[in-house]
Parts: sequence; structure tokens; C-alpha cells
Amino acid sequence: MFKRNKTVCDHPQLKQRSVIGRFTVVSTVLVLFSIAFVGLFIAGVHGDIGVFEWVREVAVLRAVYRFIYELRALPLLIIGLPFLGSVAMLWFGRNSCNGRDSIVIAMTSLTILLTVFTYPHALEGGFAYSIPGVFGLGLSFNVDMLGFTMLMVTSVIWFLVMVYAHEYMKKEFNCNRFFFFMGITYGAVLGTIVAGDLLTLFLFFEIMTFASYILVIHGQKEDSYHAGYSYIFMGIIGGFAILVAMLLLYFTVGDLAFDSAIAALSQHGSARYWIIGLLIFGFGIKAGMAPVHVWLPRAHPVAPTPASALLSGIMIKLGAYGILRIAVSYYFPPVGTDGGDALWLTSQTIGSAVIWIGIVTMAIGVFLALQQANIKRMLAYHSISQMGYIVMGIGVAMYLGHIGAMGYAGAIYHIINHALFKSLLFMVAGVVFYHTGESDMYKLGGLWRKLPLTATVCLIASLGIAGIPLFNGFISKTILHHGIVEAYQYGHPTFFYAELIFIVISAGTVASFIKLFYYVFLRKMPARYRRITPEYNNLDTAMAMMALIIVYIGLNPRFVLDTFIIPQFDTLAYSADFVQTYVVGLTFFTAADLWLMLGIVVFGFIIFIGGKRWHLFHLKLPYWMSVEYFVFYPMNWIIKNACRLMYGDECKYNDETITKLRLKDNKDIGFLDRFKIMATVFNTRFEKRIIRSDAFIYTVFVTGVLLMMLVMRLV
Amino acid sequence: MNDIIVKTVARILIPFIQLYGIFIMLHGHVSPGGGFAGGAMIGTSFVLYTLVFGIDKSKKKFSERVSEYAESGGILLYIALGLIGIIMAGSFLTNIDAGFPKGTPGSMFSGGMIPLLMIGIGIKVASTFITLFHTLIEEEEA
Amino acid sequence: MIAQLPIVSMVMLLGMALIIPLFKRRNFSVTTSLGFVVLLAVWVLTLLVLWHVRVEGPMTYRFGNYEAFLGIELYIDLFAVLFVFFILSLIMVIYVYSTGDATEGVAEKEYGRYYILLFILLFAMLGIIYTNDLFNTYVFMEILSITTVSIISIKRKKENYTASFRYVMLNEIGSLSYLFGVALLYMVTGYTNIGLVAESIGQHWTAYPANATTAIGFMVVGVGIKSAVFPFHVWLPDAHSTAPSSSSAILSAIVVKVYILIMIKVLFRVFGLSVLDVIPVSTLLIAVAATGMIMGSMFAMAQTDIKRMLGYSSVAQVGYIVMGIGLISVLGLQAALFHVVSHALMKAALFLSVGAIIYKKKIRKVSEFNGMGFEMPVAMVVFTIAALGMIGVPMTTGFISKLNLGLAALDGGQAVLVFVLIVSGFLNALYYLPIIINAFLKDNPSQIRVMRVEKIPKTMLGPLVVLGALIVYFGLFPGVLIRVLEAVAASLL
Repeated sequence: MFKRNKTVCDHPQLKQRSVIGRFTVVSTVLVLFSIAFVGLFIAGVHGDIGVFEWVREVAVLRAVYRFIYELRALPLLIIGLPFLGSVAMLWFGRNSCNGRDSIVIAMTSLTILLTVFTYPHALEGGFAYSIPGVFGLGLSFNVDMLGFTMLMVTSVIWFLVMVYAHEYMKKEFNCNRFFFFMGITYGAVLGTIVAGDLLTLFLFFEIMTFASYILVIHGQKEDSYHAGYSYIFMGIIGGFAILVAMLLLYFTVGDLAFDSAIAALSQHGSARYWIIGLLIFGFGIKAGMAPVHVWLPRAHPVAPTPASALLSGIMIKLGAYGILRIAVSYYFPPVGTDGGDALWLTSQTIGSAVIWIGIVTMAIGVFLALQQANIKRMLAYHSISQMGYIVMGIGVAMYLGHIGAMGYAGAIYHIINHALFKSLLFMVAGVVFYHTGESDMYKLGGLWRKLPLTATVCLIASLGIAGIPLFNGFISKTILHHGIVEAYQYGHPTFFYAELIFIVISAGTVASFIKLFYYVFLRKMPARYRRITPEYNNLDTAMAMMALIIVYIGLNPRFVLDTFIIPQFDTLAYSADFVQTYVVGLTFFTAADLWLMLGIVVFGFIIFIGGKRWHLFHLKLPYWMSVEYFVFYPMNWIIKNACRLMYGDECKYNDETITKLRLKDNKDIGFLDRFKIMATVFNTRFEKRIIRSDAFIYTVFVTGVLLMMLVMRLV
Repeated sequence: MNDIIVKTVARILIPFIQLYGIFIMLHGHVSPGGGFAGGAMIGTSFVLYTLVFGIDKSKKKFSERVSEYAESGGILLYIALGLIGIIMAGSFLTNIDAGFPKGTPGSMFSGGMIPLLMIGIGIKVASTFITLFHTLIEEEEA
Repeated sequence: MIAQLPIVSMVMLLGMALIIPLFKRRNFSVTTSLGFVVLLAVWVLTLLVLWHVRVEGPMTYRFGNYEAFLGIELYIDLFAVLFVFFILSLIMVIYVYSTGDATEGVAEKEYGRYYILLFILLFAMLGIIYTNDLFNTYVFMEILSITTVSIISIKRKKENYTASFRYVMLNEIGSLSYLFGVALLYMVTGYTNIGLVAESIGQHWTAYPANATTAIGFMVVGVGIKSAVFPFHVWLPDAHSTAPSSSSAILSAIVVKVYILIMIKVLFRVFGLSVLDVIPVSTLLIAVAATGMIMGSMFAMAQTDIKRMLGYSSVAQVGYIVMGIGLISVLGLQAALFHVVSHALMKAALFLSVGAIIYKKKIRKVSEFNGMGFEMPVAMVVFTIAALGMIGVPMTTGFISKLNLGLAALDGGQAVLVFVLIVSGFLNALYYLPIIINAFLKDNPSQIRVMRVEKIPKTMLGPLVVLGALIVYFGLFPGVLIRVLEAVAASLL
């Protein structure tokens, strides 16, 4: 055993003097204050309460408010604050755990406050700020309502997870490094959201990928490194895909700002399909879209819980946000265009493909989630599945063109909801691990007695993700359901099958969470957990607050709809009548929806009970069905036979190395390791030969060159 | 070599070889030869001295220090002549326009600075020749 | 007076090389400080010339006031001075590094010789870039070959000898190919001066197409061998890996680029667009470059010695530059020139940081880099920055090069090249990232866990930090450099 980086608070004997520690009290107060501030500010802007009149009375507050309102560089300040905070944290947190965490929590809280100040500007249509000259083309920032929504979600959830992380990280090592890179990732995430053109978005996207790698690899064990390699190489591939798309876009359109570019793009033939294809591929890797979702189930379980919560809660949403941004900015006609305009065609073609990708992702996610035993792995697969919902929503938004507002609203609402309940679920998994040290759900049980608050919160989150009425998931799933129904009503009838699959997947989700709750919290408790003593600390504050937000949204769905979603339609090209009739006039809790939900719940129970009885939850796919196998094996076969062809029996193409490549268990040796082994084999075979035959190469080449040039000249 | 005949003959011959070498060097612009050939000849004379009298005596005559100065000095002379061109006439290595005497074609003191350049080159080539030979001989003996 | 400065700077460098043996009896630091003073003086003079050329335009300088067809001519335009300035700056950084006792295995009494060779090398490089005469280029090329061979083999080990022998043989083949091309051109035009040859070729080449074609072929292949374009790169891994670290840095970052500059001069100044449109040099260059980009990285992935890996990485990067040249457009040439600058910075940073690691820890194998980040943080951080630049992460110059090369490729209608560029970037990531990850995130054998700045001489740390800062600075603010290079590219075409 070697020494790990321990800070003072990692001392295992440190006990809290009272039942509720002072840090926890301060954190609770700060949480309540931040949420209240947000609520009051938003209400104030809408003029519901006379808050702003009161503010204007007090001179100091008025001056502060005016200053921040006028500050043009506000987006930059919002991004810069986490970066500065992480550096400050390194300095102050060297010796004290509490000192470091107070800075982190204060920094994230302050970011919420600054973010909410952009609300008035965003309502007016955007808050643009640019820095020319840097980076060749200059950076530009723009906070419109879509950006504001994402910012709000990100900052609130990040803040709550940081409150949670204070307590959770007491049982982990290397906390300073963790919080430092968490801060950098936070800055990069905010940067991606406020980016005003594709280059800025790409810059912050790459920073986010590299910074979050350190978070994934935090445990520094064997599987952490494997997961990390998966994560970062797929992140780099995604980044490169976006880079190529950016180059193509710059080359065809000439300007990377998020304005409508479809008119210019339509003139370039197939370039627009390449661009959107590459962008969906690139952002889809980040979003956990099938078939490039393979990094997600590896990375989430190995990362520490706060990092998993944020990865699942926020960072994969950035993939969906990217696709949404590209679609509605570049590929939609300018605001005010007529519904019948031919410019909508591109969007519609691509939209149908995206809907099906979403459906496939949903299905894969839920099916594999039911097979998992590890709680966090199961939640990771559910993330994939729920991202499938969101991608499907985006697909509907694109497919229906002028009347796609329902899909758009559903996607955004589900982004908000999923961020909330998925982070909460990861936090619950983390608490269970914190107290019991166990992450396999089959080995747990009966924890509701020892951890009552956690059990309640888990129940709320599960009801949320399952889509039960009175909780937030119901709202977004209903909207998405309306969206997919419209798809086959106004579009192609095959989407009826998409709707059927949608319903089945929802049932599967319900079943899966019944399974989770049953195995972890109900049942009989194994003996070794009898000694857990519950105590109230930061973990519970954060979880409770998040559960309260979920319940609030569930009971009061119009709040999110009116505050965040409806204003976005002002800057979009959707038909205003459609928005008014269907989206603004949306009634929740209709009889049809409630009956549908009841049917889904019953179906879910059936799946769960049936699965338990017939052991359907332990299927393992054969190794030849993995994605890597399809890509890698043909290459291997080609090289082997080429070598045999050239050298006959002398080909020492090392079969021993190759048998290593046929391992059934994907975990032992990753795809990229195999590729490297192939390169090594190739190298040992050919390198020395090439070096020794230098003169030969020269002769051949010069002769070839001359022949080629003379022939091509004289022809 | 310890033979008295060889030593005596060498002692007589070497100055004449060197004289001939200098003649070739200085007449580089009117007849075949020039710096390289002349320098090679002067070098050859020293090689002869080494072969006849032994490496130790030869090293006393032409020590490493002398060779350093000779090699550097040769090229520095060349560069200096070029720089004179810059100062006097505005271009590196200018010949007549920099004021070097033109003289009558065909005689030794003609062609401006070329004989001077040849001297520089000759010294350097001779020195290189001798150093190389000394290095080879030493390696063989070691 | 300004017109004299280029030749005066060359002469100063040569003079410094000649004076060094005279200081043999004194303390060696006298030599190194004097060398630095001379370098600084030459740098300042070049800055003056740069400013002058920027304002007034190109100038021609004739040796001995002889006419162009009789004598040697130096043509000093923005292209030449800019690159001389850049080379001198980089050499100053590497020079400071090399005085820090990091010549890695070179014996004490050889130090003086090392610096003599360095100065003569500089003299030759300036000569190549400034000169406007094809045969003079050959002469300087030969001087450059000999000196580079010597700075490789100055470490008296068996592997150095074989590596430098192979290097010298292949370089001679390259030089002779080039000379053959020059001879063919002389045969057709009767001149060796670039300006006169260009005029003549433009008018008469259709009468002698075979001559011009053969000449281009041999010259491009010859210079290609010397600049390690893909099938001819075989000398590079051995040479760059066995040489002392500062030599590797100079070789990989600067010398290889000088030969590429010769290729640019030959293709664009001597032959010009009218010839190049007809003779399919462009296809050849692009094909070779694309193969090189992929194969260089493929070979690099399998290496166990880190300097060999960096050598193969150079082969891949030279492929990028040649691809930019092969596109034969202003955008392509500008991207290629920017990559010349950016790769020089990055490769120098890589070799120097690896050199520091070898100096302190005597570790050369890639697999032994675990935990290196804690023992030598500055070197590893600079290595990380440079490696991320090679991969193409934003905020480094490598990213800007990729952007520019991609745009140039699209502009030239070769969308496939963008794909090759991306694949090559990804392959780069495959072998650089594991090193960085192992260095910072794995535990090293001595289990040191606190990062402390390493105890190597300050003259070694300083250059590393400077190079790292420059890579990031030009990554964030490339505007000035890009504009200047665009002007240069336009002037060449």
C-alpha cells in the first residue's frame, strides 16, 4: 500500500461533535437562500411580486443591480468565476478541508446568482458579447433563452452536487485534485452553453472533455484507467467530428455564428448532410446516443458519485444541447418564414433519422439496464435510455418542421427533469455506497429503516423518472408522447410503431425502478448493515432540496413551461399559431394521459414480476455482438492474410498476440489496446526491412516519379 | 626512420617543396593550382617531415596550437578580405572596386585580392592536411 | 548599410565558429557567453532587416558587385528574413538549453567542437535561406549535411556511428539528386541564378519538356529525402533518437524545415505556377504526404524508445507541411508555413523536455514514464502542452494549423485530405495521451507524491517554459503571424 494524498479531514477518526455539524447548517442556509433568490428574481422579473419595487427603494441594491445589468461582459464573468474559484480553492484548501469546500460552495452559489441576472436580457432576445482577435476568428458569447434554461439547470444542480460532494468526498482521496478539475469542468460547461458560435463551443467542449477525464479516472484503479481511455478517446473522436463539420461549415457558409444558414447550405449539395451528420455523430458521442454510447456504462460507475451525478446530469445533456443548437440555429429558416417554404425540407429529412436513432437508444438503454446488478451501471444505462427520449424529442422538433414545437418543448422539459432526477438517483446510490460500501443491488436490502430520508428521496426520484402523475417526469413524458403522436399524425404513419416502442420502454423504465427500490430498500436487510447510524449532514441537504424541486415542478408544471420554455419560441421559427394553440394551451392531467400512465405502470409491474420469476434479469450478450468486434476483426483478418500473401510461410504474424485479441471479456483488453498490438506487430515485421532497403526505395521511387511525370506530361 | 641518408635528403628537400607550394598558391590566378593545390603541397612537406623524423618532433614543429591558429586564421583572413569589400565598396568580396590593385594581367601581383585569398585558403588546407595526418598516425600507434 | 546586414550576420556566425578554438585554454563559460552575445547581436540585426524589408520591400545583394549571371546573389525578402528570424529565435532558446550541461553523453572536451559545429550550421542555414543561386544552395546544403552529421555523431557510441553513416549516405544521395536537377536546369537555361532561371524556364520550357520534368522530379525527390518525406524517412528515427537532445531538437525542429523551405523556393520561385499547373507535382506531393501522415503515426505507435517515437512523429508532421505545399494555393502555402513554425516550436519543446528527463532520470523507455509528472513537473507540463498541440487540442498552435490545413484542403477541393488529417490527429492522440496519463496519474516506483520543481539547471528550465508559453500564446493569438504568413505566401505565388 502506498501513501495517497490525504488532507486533514480524511482522518478516519474525525467525528462530529454534535448531531448536525456547523458546516451542514451553513450549507443548508445557503441552499435555501440561493433557491429562494432564484425564485424571487424570476418572479420579480415577471412582475408577479413587488420585489423589484422594494429593491429600487434601497439605493445600494439598486446600484448593484444596475451595475450587473449593464455589465456587457457578464457571460465572461459567469464562465470565469469557476476558473478563478478553482485556483482560489487550491490556495485556500491546502490545509483545510472545510475551507476548501466553503470556497467551492460559495463559488457555485455565486454563479447561480450571476446566472439568474442574465434572465432579463435573455427574455429580450439575447445577450451577445464577443472578443475579436483571439483564436483567429474571435470568440463570441450569446445568452438567449435556450442558453439561459441550460445555465439555470446547470448551476442549480452543480451547486447542490457540490454541497453533497463535501460530505461524500471525505471518504475519498485526492480531494484537492478532484475539486480543482471539477471547477475547470464547470467553467468549460458554462462556456459551452453561453457560446455564440461553433468555434467557441468547440473550444469549451474540448476543455470540458479533457478536464472531466481527470474526474472519471479519479479512483486510479485498473478499471478506472480502462474506462478513462474509453471516455477520452471517444471524446476526442467526437471533438474531431465536430471540427470537420466546423471546417465544412466555415467553408460553405463563411460564418460560424448561430444564425440561420440553411439558405446558404442548400446551395452546396450534399455538404449539409455531411455537416449535420458529423455534428450529430460528434455530439451524439457526448450524449450517449447509440451506437456510440459504449463509453457511458464504463465511465459512470468508476467515477466518484458527485462526478457521476454531474456527468449524467449535465454533461451528457450538453451533447443534446449541441444537436439542438445546431438544428435550430443553422438548419431552420429565419424567424417568420412560412410553413410551406422548401427550406424546411432538410430539417425534415434528418429529423426522421434522428427520431429512429432516439428510439433505438431508448430501447438499448432500458433493455441493458434491466440486466445490471451494479446500481450505478444501471443508472448509467438509464441515462442512455432517457437521452434517447430527449434525442427523439429533438428529432420530432426537426421532423415536423414548422409545427414541431411540441417535440422541442418536450426535449427541453425532459432535459431539465432528467438532470434533476438522474442527479438525485446518483446521489442516492452514492449515499448507499457511503454507508454500506456496497454497490451491487442484489446484496443490499431493507435500507429504508436505516436511511429513511434517502429512501423517501429515492422513491420521489423513481416516481419522477417513471413518469407518475404529480411528479415531474409525467409532464415531460406526456409532452414527448404528444410529440410522437403528432409525428405520425402529421407525418409518416410508420411513427406509430415508434409510439408503441415508446410506451413499452416507459413500462420497462417503471419495471427497472421497481426492481431498484425493491432490492435496495425493501426486502430483508442482510446482517452486516445493522450497524449503520443515520446522521444528518450535507448529503441529505442536497438530496432533500432536489427532491423538493422535483415535487414542486410536478405539482406546478406551468412554472417551467411559462418561465423557461415558452419564451424560447420568440426566437425560433416555429409557427406562432401552433405554439399558441398546442403548447401554451397545454393541459396536463387529461384523462387520456392518466389512463395511459396507469396502463404503463401495470405493465411495468408485470415485467418486473415476470422477470424476477423467470430470471430474465441476468442475460449476457455473446461477445461477438459488441461494436468493437465488428470494426476490429475484419482489419485483423486483412492484415494477416496480406502478410501471408506477401511472405508465404515466413510470415511471422504473431498468432499468439492475436489470440489475446480474441478474449471474450471486453474488459480485459480494450479496443484501442488491440489496435496498438496490431500496430506493434506490423511494426516489428516491417520497420527494419524498410530501413534496410533505403536505396531500393529511392531507386524505385525516382523511377516511378519520372515515369509518372513523363507519361502524364506526354499524354 | 633512422636512416641518415633519408634524413639528410629530406632536410634538403623540404624547403624546396614548400617554396614550390607557395609559388603554386600565389600564382593561382594565372596558372593552374591556387590555394587548395598549394596548401596540399605545403601539407605534404610536413607529412614528409613526420614520416622521416617521427611524430614527436613533428608535433613540436607544428603543434596543435599552431594548427588551431592556422585554421581559424585562414578563414578569418578570407572573411576579413570580404569585409574590406563591404567597407570600401559596399558589397562582400568586392575585388577591384574595393581598391585592390589590379596590376598587369599575367603577373603575380594582379587580380586584386585573389592571391591574398589564396594565402588564406592555403594556410587552412595545409593545416587540415597535417592535422588529419597526425590524427591518423596517432590512432595507428595507439 | 542595412543591405550589408545579412551578410554581416552570416559572417559573424562563421567568425564565432572560428574563434571558439582560440578560447580553448580558458573557462568554457567564456565561450558560451560570447556565443550567446553573438547570437543576440545577429538576432537584433535580423530584426532590423525584417523591419526594413517589411517597410521597403525586398532587396537584392550581389557579392562583389558582379552581375547576376556571373556572381552570387542574395535575395532578401519577407519570406527569407521572417524564417531566418524565426530560426535564430528558436536556436537561441535551444542554445541556452544546451549550455545547461545537457549535451547528454558528449565528452567534456568535445563541447567546444559541438558549438563550432552549431555555429557553422547556423551559417549554412542562413546561407540557404538568403541565397538566390541554385548552385550556392547546393554548397550550403552540403555544409549543412556535414555539420548535422557531426552533431549527431559527436556522441561517440556505436549506434551514433551507424545512424550518422546512414544519414550521410542518404543525404548525399539527396544532394546529388538535387545537383543533377540543377545541372539539367543549367543545361536548358544557361544560368544558375534563380531569378534568371525562372524567367528562362517560363519562356522556354515547352521546348524542352523532358528536361524540366526530370529536373523537377530529381530536385523534389532529392530535397524530399533530406526533409524526411515519407518513403525516404528511413534515416530519421535512428538519427534523431541517438543524437544528444539539443541536436535532436535542432535537427527535427529546424534543419528538416530548412530543406522544406528549399523545396518551396524551387517549386514556386524557379518553376512557378505556369509549369506546376501542367506537371502533376501536386498529385505526387499530396499522395506522398497523405501516406506519410498515416504511416508515420502507425510506426510511432509501436515504438518503445521515446526519442524514436518523436522521430516518427516528425515524419508524420512533415507530411502535413508537404500536403499544404502540394495544394499549390495561397491558403495551402500559408497553412504549410504556419505549420512549419508551429511544429518547430512543438517539436523543440518535446525534444527538450524529453532531454531534461533523460538528463535527470536517465529514462528513455516509454513504459518507464509512470509518475514522471511528480518528479519532473515542469518538463512534463511542457511535454503535455506540446503533445496536446500535436493532437490538435484548442488553445495550442497545433489546433490553428489543423484548422488552416483543413480549410486549405477544402478550398483545394480535396475533402479526403480533411479526413486523413483527422485520422492522423487521432493516431497522434493514441500514442501521446498514454504517456501523459502515465506520467501524471500513475504511481512511480519511488512513490513520490508531492510535486516539486525539479533540480535541473536553470538554463534548462528557462527554455522549456519559454517554449511552452509560446505554444500557448500563438495558439490563442495567431492573428499577427497568420497575416504575415499570408503576405509571404502571396508573394511566393
